[in-house]
Amino acid sequence: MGIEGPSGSVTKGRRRVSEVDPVGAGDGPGTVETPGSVVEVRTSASASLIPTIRAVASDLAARADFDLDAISDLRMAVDEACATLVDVAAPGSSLRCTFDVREELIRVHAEVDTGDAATPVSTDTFGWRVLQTLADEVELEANGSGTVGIRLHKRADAAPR
Amino acid sequence: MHVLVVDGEVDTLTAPTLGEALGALLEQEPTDAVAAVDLDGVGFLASSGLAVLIRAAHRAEAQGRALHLLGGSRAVTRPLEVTGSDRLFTLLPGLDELLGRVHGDRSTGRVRRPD
Repeated sequence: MGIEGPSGSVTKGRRRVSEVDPVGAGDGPGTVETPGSVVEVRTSASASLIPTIRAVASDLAARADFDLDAISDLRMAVDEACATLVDVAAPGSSLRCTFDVREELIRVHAEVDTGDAATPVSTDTFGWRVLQTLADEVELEANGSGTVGIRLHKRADAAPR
Repeated sequence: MHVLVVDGEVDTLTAPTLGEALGALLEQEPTDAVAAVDLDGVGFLASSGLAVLIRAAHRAEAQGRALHLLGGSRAVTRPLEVTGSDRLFTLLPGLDELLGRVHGDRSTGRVRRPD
């Protein structure tokens, strides 16, 4: 296996430092997500990839100035939603997770294909109760069309427990 | 005194391993010794991880003792508080506080302090 030298193709010294957002409201470099930003993450429907998705959730919440408890809650809620869906996903299918970052709110939609032999998602579980507690709103979408989804909202300021 | 030191992220993949380790912790003789789980190195705790901790707390209770949880990081305390399961455990900041509580002094001679 070769190692690229300094003149290799990895870097040519040109680096995009920043791009001016024409509709940006003068936010600093730390606040990339202006209200309405959408991030979609698609992975194999495998539990081993959920850490990546919850890391994205955590990062988006931190950049959107969520308080520390709300960041923790969102990370855990997204983990729970994804773990629930991966459990019922068809073999070899993908997990699609969309984050809609608004002002003071992140909306999350996670979805998997279940195939024909769909195992219903049970909401009578400890995990689902935890999910309901963590998210400000949570909704299961199971309409028998071969996909199952979970929608949840999390506000930037976590309610004190 | 028996202390289980846990490190890393406890989620649906790793919770079974924690469950086994907790089982081993609570089987160690004598089963009335002080039992503690040091969670200071835990960066994430999912509901699956909470579930195995809660099961262990019930088992410890059946043995007539408390399960002590050590460590105060938000990744651990927030899930416990949000779910109200913090009431099932004796929560302490760290090993020093546990030793202080058990021996009434700050002796660290019997348990190696985790890094």
